Amino acid sequence: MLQPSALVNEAFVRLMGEAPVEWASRAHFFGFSARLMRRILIDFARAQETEKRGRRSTHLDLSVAGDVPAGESHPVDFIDLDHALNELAQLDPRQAQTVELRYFGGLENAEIAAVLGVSEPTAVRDWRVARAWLYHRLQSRLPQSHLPNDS
Amino acid sequence: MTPEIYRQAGELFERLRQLPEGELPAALDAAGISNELRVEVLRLIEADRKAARSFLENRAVEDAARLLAPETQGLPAAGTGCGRDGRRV
Repeated sequence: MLQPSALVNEAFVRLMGEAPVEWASRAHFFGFSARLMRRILIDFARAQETEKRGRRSTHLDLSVAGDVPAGESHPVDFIDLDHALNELAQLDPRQAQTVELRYFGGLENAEIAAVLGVSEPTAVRDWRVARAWLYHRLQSRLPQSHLPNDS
Repeated sequence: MTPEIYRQAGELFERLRQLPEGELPAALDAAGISNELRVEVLRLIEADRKAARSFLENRAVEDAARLLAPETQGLPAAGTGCGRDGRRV
């Protein structure tokens, strides 16, 4: 099983192996790092799915709790999130970048604003709209048993 | 959905998302928008209210650590006595 330290090692090795010789800007560096982390996690999720397919179909749970009690979560996987992010990029590339920088890159709103060259309120709005859209998109992919009860 | 519809939905969502639920229909009527746009705005508002607590609040690396090494969830908190005589180590 891949350990968190191995994940960091993998990210570092790939960063060093694939990184451009020169960084054009901070935005270039952070954008590249966030994209790289996304790819590593998606690759690993795919490998896990392949490995487990012979035994039983499984999904990797993310902490995507919505209107559920604290400590519980709706199961969604990295692969679905990746697909949804690709769809979002078709609708609004900057919002998709915002999610990538925040969720995969670990940046805060002010840092995202600086990287993308927008104001912080704009970065916050982009995040809020993108998160709502992704939540709806991912929820619609869940099995009925995982959907919240609307009654 | 087109990027333009999505952009308009996002703008209306930002303007209306904090309205009490009972005031939303009238506000959407007053906006004079298409049914498609109205549905998208309502979807975003509903999702925002459900997702506000914790959706994607963790960073990916935190989720990955939890997924990839679930056994670490059982580790004692920092400072927990775990020496032979319960002293901090």
